Amino acid sequence: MKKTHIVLILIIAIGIGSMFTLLGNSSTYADFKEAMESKEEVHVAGTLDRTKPMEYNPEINPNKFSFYMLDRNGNGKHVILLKSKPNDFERSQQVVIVGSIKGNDFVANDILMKCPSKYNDGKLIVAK
Amino acid sequence: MEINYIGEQTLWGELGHFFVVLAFVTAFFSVIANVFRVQNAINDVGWKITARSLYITHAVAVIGIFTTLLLMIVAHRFEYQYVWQHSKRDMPMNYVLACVWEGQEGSTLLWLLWHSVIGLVLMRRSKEWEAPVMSVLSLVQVFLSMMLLGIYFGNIHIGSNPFELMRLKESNLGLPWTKIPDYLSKIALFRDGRGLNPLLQNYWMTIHPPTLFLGFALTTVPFAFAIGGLWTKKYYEWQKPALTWAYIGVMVLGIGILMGGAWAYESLSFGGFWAWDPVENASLVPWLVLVGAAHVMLLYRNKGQSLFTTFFLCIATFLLIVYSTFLTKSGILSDTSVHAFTDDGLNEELTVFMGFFLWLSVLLLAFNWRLKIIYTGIAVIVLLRFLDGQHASSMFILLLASLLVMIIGYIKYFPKQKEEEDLWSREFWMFIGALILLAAAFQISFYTSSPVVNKFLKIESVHHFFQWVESTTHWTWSSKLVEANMAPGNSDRVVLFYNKWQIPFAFLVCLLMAVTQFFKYKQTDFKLFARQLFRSFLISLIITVPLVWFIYFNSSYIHVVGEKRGIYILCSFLLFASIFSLLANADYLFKILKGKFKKAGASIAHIGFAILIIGIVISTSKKDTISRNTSRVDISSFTDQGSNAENIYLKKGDTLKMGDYFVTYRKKERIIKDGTPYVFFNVDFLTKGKDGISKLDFTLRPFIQLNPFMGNAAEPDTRHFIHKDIYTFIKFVDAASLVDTVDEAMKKSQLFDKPQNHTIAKGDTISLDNCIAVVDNVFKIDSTNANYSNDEYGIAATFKVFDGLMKTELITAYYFINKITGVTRQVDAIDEKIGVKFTFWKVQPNENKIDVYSAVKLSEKADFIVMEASIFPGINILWMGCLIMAIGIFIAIVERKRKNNLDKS
Repeated sequence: MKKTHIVLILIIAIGIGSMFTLLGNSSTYADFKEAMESKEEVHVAGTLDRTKPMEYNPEINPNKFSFYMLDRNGNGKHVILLKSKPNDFERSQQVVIVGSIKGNDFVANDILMKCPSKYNDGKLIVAK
Repeated sequence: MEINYIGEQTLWGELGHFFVVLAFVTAFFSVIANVFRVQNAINDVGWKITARSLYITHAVAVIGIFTTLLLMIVAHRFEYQYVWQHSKRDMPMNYVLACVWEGQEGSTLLWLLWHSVIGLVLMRRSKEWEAPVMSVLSLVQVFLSMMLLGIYFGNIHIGSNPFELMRLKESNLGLPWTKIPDYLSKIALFRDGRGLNPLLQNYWMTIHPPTLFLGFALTTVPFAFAIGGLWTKKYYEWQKPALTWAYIGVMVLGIGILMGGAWAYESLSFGGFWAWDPVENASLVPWLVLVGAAHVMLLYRNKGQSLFTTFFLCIATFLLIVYSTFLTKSGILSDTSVHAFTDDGLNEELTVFMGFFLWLSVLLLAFNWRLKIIYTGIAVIVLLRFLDGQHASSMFILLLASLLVMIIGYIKYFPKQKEEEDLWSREFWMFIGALILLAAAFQISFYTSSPVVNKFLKIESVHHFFQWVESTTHWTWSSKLVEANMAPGNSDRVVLFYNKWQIPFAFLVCLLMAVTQFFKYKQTDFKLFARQLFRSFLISLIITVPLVWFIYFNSSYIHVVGEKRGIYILCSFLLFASIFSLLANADYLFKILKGKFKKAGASIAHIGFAILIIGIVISTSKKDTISRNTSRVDISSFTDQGSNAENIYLKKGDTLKMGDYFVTYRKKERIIKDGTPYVFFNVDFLTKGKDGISKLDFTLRPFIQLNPFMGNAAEPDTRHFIHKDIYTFIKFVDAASLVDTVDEAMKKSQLFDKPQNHTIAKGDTISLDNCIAVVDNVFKIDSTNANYSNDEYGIAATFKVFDGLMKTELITAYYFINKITGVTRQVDAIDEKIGVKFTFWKVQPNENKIDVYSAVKLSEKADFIVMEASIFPGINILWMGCLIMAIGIFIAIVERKRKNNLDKS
């Protein structure tokens, strides 16, 4: 066996190792129901529930923003985001929150937003 | 019925689309002509002229597409979807180019354009390689121009045409307005386009995409040479011309990626220059592989070893570029990345693009006709399966088959050299270095690909397999494989995870960079080698230990918790390795090369890279977010990290301590530049002098760009010092206060904001900017009420108002109608403390509902900002490293060209 082969095997081992650490280090996509069961960190995708109030009082705490969100199955939940209120949050089309259920709320420490401002699909809706 | 549309100029679109079709057709025939030349008539002048004129026509057509689109934007032809969506009237001319490549089609066009230009250069310079290389390049062009075709075959939709009219766009077909002949003048929306996304309106958008796409296009050249070499069975000769191109690719793509980082740092509010975002990773991965490829090719040129690896890496680089395009354009990342495109229906086309070139490459790497036939058979089955709609499983089979065929081809049929590298030789360690780069690229790529991995895991048989594994072994990791639902985790954790893996890789790469030049090809005298390196080793140790002590393990280290401690230790090692690398290469440059700069390209590039790493390590690991949550509420109980308190709340006029500074939010200014309104927030940074009196040090002006169509975009402002940067940006600002900057004086005279109407019933909730109000009760008043009068009917509405502290106040609004005249009057409900007013002005007759205007008080209270401020120490080291690296590679390219010319004469 050549030295290069030994090194190659080592590198492949590292490669496979990195594949397995992905499993250890990833969270999962879930809806609110599954999030309630797992209690672990999950990603929930859905939309902002516009019928319910949002709350942001930066004077008291600039790093806390709460709102109601509907997951993809239409189930709602109160979400506490431990960050500032994202700019243009009202315009978001889709929200992905990362966090876990604590008590009755979903406590999120990260948020991803899709706004019409990002690479939009160019659909034009004209009221007529 | 044919409608005669007024004001449309369809000639533009027809011309543009004609060029697209022409580009596609000529690319296709250029492939055929060039393939024919390779197979039958390499010296035939007639075929040479045919092939060349086809390609030149193709290049002209591509330039034609680009020019037409550009002119359409300049001429404001808003009846065209692309023009309407990406440009607008009052936009300054310097963003016109940015508009061309903002969209998905435009960026493909940019790639196409660079390929055309490179092809013209290749045609002139590559001599005996012209026919095979041009075949491959034209083939790539066929696929790329297909992505702009926008034609339908039954249900199959090929490409997306940038010259499509708005009314003919699929999603608009059949809508009523498309039937109006004069829709262009009638519908206000068409008078102006939507314009460029505000985040993209800066000079970076003009220079970053072309550089990046030039880098992308350059990776095609080594690939084309590798394929050409395999095809014509000239396994050795292709490397000489390809190596120079690979160097140029390393330089341009590297600059392109770092430009992206600089852009993110300077004008996007990502909070740094690298966020390990999937889209960033997708361009970093091919670069790492290309760097590996360039090194192994150099090795082969000098020593004649690792031939297979050169093929593999050159091919992998190109396939990874296509894969990165797939990741960013197919919409597969839309849940995990902030700046990926959404699905444009290009998914399948890009997959076929990728699959085709994978098949072609592995076919040539099989080296045995029987194996080739079997592999092609599998590929055909895969294609049929794919067209049948089973995308994930067919790609999975192709991937497995390709891997298998490549391994069999290598082991059984590939001619290998007998001689083994000496352990103490340069070639051995350079090879190892390339493998480490490959491993690093693999790790990034795999983690970035988690949505793709999920798709593979959802394939039925794969799913069953892992179900079986889980039921037999009960391993915890197998349940995740069964769920096939992996997500990357929150952004802090993603960054931590990448760092944990990539810092050790970078450490190894830096060590190898330091020592490898001191090895000689073939064999090295170990004693001499050790003696040469000992001094740099010792000096770097002497520098690193106190440095690390000072920046990491100082008195604040006890406050560092959890995995960050591990990262500090890893960073210390990496700092040592990069300093060692810097010194060893400098030593090599001066002692061994005796300062001959012409030959020092490699050393200088390595010095640059080492400096770049030092800059990255220091600025990211010691990035200090100095804005803190100064509120009364402790939020650490909500979070495990306890570190989410990164924003500061600044009321106008208040001075708060932030890091070593005192900051004051002094005022905001509204400025209109190029037709777009901006609001600048002036934040003064004060420092305490020796006399104890604070004085103004500098002012930062982070700003928000207002854009009614696309939303407001916050952009940072940074104060540059030699040793550090102070970086601030606005995280949140009250939307109402942005509008009110027009006239501060007017605002003060006006007590309440513009009223908003609500149609409500008892029990409803109204949510406002500064409070939430619940309609407590709606009732008819009687004589017991103080506001009662005999001439009028009176209705009262009571509101419970909650402000941020959840304090409840009950206020009442009245509405009266005179029994005789029908004249109405209102008594407002006002809560002075919270600053809100309700005007009850109408009763909905049948529905038990009432109409109420709400208005929020405009006071100084609304004028605040929520800001994040960070210190990036040593970020200039990073930029300096980048520059030195680029210079080094450039010197190496020049030297390579000179050597190639010498070989010829």
